[in-house]
Amino acid sequence: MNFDEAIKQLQAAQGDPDQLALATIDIVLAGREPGLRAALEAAAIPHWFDEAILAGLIGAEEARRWLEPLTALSMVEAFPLRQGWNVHEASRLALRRHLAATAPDRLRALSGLAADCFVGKEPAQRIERLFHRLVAGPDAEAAEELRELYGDWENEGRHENLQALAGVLDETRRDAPLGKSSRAGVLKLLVLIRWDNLPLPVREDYALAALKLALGLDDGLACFEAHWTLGMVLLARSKRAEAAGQFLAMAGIAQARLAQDADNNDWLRRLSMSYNLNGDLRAAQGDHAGALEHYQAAHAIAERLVDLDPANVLWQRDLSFSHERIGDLLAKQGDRAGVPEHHQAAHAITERLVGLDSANAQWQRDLAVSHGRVGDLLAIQGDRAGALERYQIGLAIAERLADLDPANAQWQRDLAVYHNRIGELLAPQGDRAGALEHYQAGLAIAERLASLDQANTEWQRDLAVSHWKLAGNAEQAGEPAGALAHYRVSVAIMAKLAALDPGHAQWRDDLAWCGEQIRRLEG
Amino acid sequence: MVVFSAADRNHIPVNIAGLRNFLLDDDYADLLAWLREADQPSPQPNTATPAAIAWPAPNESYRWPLADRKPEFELFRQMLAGRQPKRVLLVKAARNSGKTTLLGGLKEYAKTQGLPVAQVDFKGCPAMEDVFEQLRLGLKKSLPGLAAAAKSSPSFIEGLQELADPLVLLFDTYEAASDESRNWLEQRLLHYIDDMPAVVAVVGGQQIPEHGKCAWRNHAIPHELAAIDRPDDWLEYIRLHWPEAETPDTAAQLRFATQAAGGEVGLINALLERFFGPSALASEYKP
Repeated sequence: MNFDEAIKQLQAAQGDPDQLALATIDIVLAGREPGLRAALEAAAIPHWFDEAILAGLIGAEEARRWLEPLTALSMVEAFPLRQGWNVHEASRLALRRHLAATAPDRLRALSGLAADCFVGKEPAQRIERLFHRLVAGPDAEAAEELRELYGDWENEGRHENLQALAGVLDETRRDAPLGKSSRAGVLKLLVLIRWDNLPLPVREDYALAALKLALGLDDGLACFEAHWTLGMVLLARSKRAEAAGQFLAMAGIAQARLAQDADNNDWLRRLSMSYNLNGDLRAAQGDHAGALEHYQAAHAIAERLVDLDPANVLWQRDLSFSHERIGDLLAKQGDRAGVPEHHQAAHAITERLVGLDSANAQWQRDLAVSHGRVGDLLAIQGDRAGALERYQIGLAIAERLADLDPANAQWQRDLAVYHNRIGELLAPQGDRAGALEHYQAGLAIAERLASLDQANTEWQRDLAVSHWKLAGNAEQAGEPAGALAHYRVSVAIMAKLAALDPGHAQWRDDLAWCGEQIRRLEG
Repeated sequence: MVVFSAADRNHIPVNIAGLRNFLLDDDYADLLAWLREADQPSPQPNTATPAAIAWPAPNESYRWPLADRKPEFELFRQMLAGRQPKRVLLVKAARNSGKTTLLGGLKEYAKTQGLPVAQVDFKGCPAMEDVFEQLRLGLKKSLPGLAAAAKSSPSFIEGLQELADPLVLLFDTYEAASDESRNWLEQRLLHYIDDMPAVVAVVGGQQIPEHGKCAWRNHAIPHELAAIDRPDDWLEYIRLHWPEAETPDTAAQLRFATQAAGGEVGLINALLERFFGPSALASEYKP
């Protein structure tokens, strides 16, 4: 091939990026032995390669022969992190897409071989293996492997691993030819892992697509998970009626399974999940009796499972959540006598779990939350010093977690919650400066989160709460104008939320309360 | 002084990007305050740079080895000479447009100036411990004390704050960075750039940090790399690297080639290496 022929080949690509990349590969490889092209195509399957990986893909002898000329190609670059090389992204993706379109069986075969090259236990190895398994199939097995990996890391609180997994899943979503089960799993997990980073409408699109795929499969678990994911997204979008439909569907699937196999513990646990979610919905509507009924049903299952196997940390954690839900609900109902038993039981479980694995960030967070709840109890009982101590422990844990991952919105939110709680304790003691400092720290976090995603109603309400805390503090300091200004911001936020979902009891009450404060101050 | 709208943030010509800049809508109060200050030189001297920092004199005779990218190189050269008030260069570019090649070129210049360089590539979404591992490896020989401090974020940042001699930090493939890495870079490392007067940082990727809302935004020069679609730039490149390969047809061929490849740096580089590079000269592929 001469230069003019090469230009004609580029012109034939008509500016299409993939065609340009493929044409460039053709030009660079023209006149070279076909084995080099085969080696390049194989090397484009994984995200990186070394001699051993190349050997796994094309055989040891071929790998030895082609490694040097391959790594000298302009579209192959060093990958220092893995002490190997990678095909440059534009060429890698173009080659993969070309294979998917023209030789899908070869892509699957190479992906299967690639999967076998990554057998280590390190997160990067496990993620890369899964990436190839999702393409190579079989579909249902790959989806199950994905579910297991997510489950392991979620239960171990390996947040950073999950973020890395999401990066690869997003690539498979965009570019890989996936089976229905795998695609449903990928979409669902992207929603769950990137919950705080994906805009709500995108989360809804993914969750809806996952549900449609799952409904086309004879796979109750995939459907259950897809209903759950979509329900959570709809709830976050304040589409409570639609969310209720998803949660009922979850319960229906679980009950149908249990009708066939009453002792299936996995499905029992899933049934308890759906009870809890239905309970949450009812609590949000102000139906405390209905919520309690659901929570107690879930609690009975959680207790039964823990009795079966007290060493099962997942079931222990479920039981702790169940105690917390019931305790919170009783507190809302004003049933103070019943609250301590539940919060203390939850706290004991979380302390035990953290004792088992102090590196588990989820359990650490559970413990911080639990300290907060015990602090609330002590505050109600008038033990302000005890409450302050608990809140400060909670704040210290939350600070450690937030420092570990400043991007984790949940952990940032926890920080704001503890700042507000400490402020609430300090203000009545006359330490208004201390209270102000904590309220302002809480407000700064709430403002940051609220600006990240204006559709996130929880974060919007947090912002309103921060403002009314500051309003209260200003009022106590004899600054009614400052208090009014903060209350007005709160009212504006709560009015927007209440308009979004007029049936939301909490938001309706918040709006009414803020309005009352403004009227009172205006005289 | 540059006043621009938020939508143009990444499109300020690189030769004026180092000047004090303001967002048209958001920075009105800052702009007024700045205008009120009497005898304001422009651009601002690097107030964060104590005289003690030994910036090397710019190497005026250095032959920049890449096609085009001269304004970017000049900006970097001024940064390394302590003559540029902003010390964070954010290079955004589409896939295959030569970001990594540019970072490599900047790294080589820094090395010829005798400056230590550490490079982090976010390709493959490395965990934070891998990010620190890359920093440690990069600094091991030149700054062993700082390399040892690159075990955790606080100790590394503290080490950077104490540096009295210039250091270049390069971050590539930013779009692949995990949320943790992004937050570390944006909300930890660059957040303290004001207190690290000896540090020059370059971040490249298909995405770059959203510096507009960050406290360090006035230390940053965002820049979007364009395609290299002027045949003369590529002709100069050939003359620099393979002068003996040029023929009377080369200029015309480059016109067609840059047009067909849309100025995509990766493609044109591959094409030129194939037909003009050393392997081409040794074979029948010579144009």
